[in-house]
Amino acid sequence: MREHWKALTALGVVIIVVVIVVIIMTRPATPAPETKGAGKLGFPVSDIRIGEGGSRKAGDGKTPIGYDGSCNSAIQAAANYAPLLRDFSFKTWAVQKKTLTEVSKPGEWFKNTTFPNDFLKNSKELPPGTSTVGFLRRTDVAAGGMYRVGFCKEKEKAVVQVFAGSVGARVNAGLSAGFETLSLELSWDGDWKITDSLPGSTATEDFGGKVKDIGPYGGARESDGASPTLTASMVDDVFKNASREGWVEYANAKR
Amino acid sequence: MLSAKRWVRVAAATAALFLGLGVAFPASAFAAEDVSAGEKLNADELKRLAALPEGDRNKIRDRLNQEHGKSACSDPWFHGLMGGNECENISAKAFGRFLTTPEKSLDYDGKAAPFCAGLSAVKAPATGLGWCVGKTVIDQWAPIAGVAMRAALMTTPGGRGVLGVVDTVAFIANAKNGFEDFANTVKAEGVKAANEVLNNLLKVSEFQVNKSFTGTWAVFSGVGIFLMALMYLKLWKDVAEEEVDMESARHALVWYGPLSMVLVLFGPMVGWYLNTWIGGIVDGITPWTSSRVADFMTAIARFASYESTGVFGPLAAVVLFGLMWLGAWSMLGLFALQPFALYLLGTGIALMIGFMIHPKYRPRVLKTGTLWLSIALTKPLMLLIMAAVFAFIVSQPAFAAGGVDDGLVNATSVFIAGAAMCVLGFAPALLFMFVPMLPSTATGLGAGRSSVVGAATVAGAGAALSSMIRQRRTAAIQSGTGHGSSRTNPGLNGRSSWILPEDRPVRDPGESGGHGRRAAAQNQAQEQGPQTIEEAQAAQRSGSGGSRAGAAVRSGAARAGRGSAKIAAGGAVAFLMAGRETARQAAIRGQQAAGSMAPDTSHISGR
Repeated sequence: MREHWKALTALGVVIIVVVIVVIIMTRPATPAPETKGAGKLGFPVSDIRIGEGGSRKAGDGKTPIGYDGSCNSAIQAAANYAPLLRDFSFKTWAVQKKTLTEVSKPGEWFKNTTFPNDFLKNSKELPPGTSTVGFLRRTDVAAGGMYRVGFCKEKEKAVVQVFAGSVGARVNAGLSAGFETLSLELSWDGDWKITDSLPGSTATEDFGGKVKDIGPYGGARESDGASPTLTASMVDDVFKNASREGWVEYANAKR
Repeated sequence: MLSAKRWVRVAAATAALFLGLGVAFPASAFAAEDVSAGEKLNADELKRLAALPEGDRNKIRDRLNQEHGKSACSDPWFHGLMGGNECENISAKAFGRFLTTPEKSLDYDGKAAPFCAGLSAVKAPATGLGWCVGKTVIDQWAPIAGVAMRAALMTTPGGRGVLGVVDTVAFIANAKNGFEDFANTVKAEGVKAANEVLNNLLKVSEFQVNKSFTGTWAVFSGVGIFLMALMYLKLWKDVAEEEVDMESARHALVWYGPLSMVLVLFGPMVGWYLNTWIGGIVDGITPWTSSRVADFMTAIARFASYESTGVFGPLAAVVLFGLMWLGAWSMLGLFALQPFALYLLGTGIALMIGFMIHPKYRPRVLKTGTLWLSIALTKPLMLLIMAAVFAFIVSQPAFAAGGVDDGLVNATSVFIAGAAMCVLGFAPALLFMFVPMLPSTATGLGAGRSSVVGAATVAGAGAALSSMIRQRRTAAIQSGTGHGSSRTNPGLNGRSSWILPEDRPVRDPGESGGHGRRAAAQNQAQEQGPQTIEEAQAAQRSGSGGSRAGAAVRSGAARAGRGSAKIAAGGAVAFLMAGRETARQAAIRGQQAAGSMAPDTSHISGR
């Protein structure tokens, strides 16, 4: 009988071990520490705000110019210049083009960037189904609200990417909202001046090697005229072909 | 004493090893949850798309590329720079340069580079090309999904087939009375039900070892562990009364005790592996099956266009299309209940796992486990049989190109389709007679306590079914397919001939791409085709054609029904019974260990 008592004891030990393991395993797992940044969507948030910086306004009365040449000011300038490149309305294009000239240096890129708008402006008829809307595209930088610095040397040169929302009219269809990345090369000439941009440049997707990748884009959807607020799933969608590394939120991004 | 010590050490080491693994990889059981493709086509629809003829696929691809073109040209700048109205056509051509299959077209993610290259290849205006390259992305481009995609697919006949939409024509135009109206309704419903069910057949039936299952398992195994404690009391009592010898008691204590605990922890994982493995088999079979089903869809489209002619009047329509309706729903029920039965049986196992420690009750657990495996394995088996049956139906003269303008032939084809689906719907009952060692009261199939062999038996289930079918000649359809396969393989006996289809589809995925798959499927059809048509013709020669064959089917079915009356009556309900039975057994054993209270099964199995 003795050996069986031993066996029983051994069994008891095994059962106790099993029970302990079961208890340990079924305890609610402590969530892994969040390595995400401070923002809602997991990106770090900076102090830099869209629409600020600069000491005066450009000819259109709203675009800030006169930056101090720091890298932070380049990031501000990129956000503030973005609408000049990407907005389009038949009524305001003339003024906008003039302002764009003010904040940039002419070159092949400028022709490429402004040509389509000029083309539309000069075409005899509006694209079908777009006449009821007052604009063809409106950029909402705060809706995207992120930037990535590709390169920056104070008072010399900076390459900044800006992730912005946009609402556009479509041919024979309603408005559509989407997100896109603008890549801007800024050069210092008493102020930050645009010397190249993507879209617009005929350069490759990495902006001639100046940026890591083209950046997030996409997420097109029907719109009532406003850019949608970015959600985690939309972020997943727009970033499916781009790296998340280096992207930082503006302090006043729409979230 | 030494041996006891060694036992303890071995048991402890094994337990420690497994528990250690369990702690290290507890998440593996959840790995089965995957992400759905969203608003895109589901797996079934994609399989049907792959099975379409090349011409239909190209039409669908062109239509989708047209949609892409429309999407790209909705950008006012691009539209203008491309020269306005020509934009869509040129863009569609550019998309066609690199989106060469409908699948590629569905998966296109909006990358501009290949599109711009395509534009330059189709000689688009330089201004448009410049915009494309300069913009680098088509930022207003939206993926084709949801309603837009379905609307685009609906415009091509092949696309309608992929989406499984069928337009039914009224059987009797301008119905004059209520009955004719009723005939119209039954026809529309029958065709629609058959179509819908076949479309969704492969997707309703998924048993998954997921979080919900493991959660339920945890609760039930908690009760199971409590029952195990009671079992220990019972064991010690039996030892004391010398009904169980010390040898068995030691086995129970140091081996089955820890083993059942390990199984409590790893049951879902083992289940997951088995389920995934069987899922692999199913995946191997489904392309072949779904291409057969796709063929059958064309047959259904033919049904949809049937109108009353000659003897094929309203009464015949009500009966025949009614049969089709019944068959379709019975098949759906069958496939829907299969995962349900697996779920219930699984939790039943958790409940009775403690029974493993008592030598007297151990076989019951093994039996239930085997039953679970058997039911899990019936799905691939059913898919194979289904494909074979549909291949037969489609080879009927009524479905040859152009069809036959003969009311009787058409009526017969409807009957065969309906009867075939009924047979499939109720076939699990027939399967169950031979496949598992069922602990079902209804069937008396519990005999043979050494259920471990059940798993092996399952592997031969096809063979068993074949021989059973041979015996019974259940229906003209079945004997048709049976003959077909066996004659193409002279020298093989009946058993292996039925397994034959299994060999093919499993090999199929190995062949590269849809072409190979289709080719293999066609091969199969060709091998079967001549034989089955010949038989059908023989049936026609032998008398009043279809009605004669129909009578044969009917009487065959009746005989089969009598033979396995109790199960066949329930049909798919057998699944339910099995699951409930297990739970009931466990509950009863928990309260009263005495064998006298065991349900009928145990009488039989105890004999």
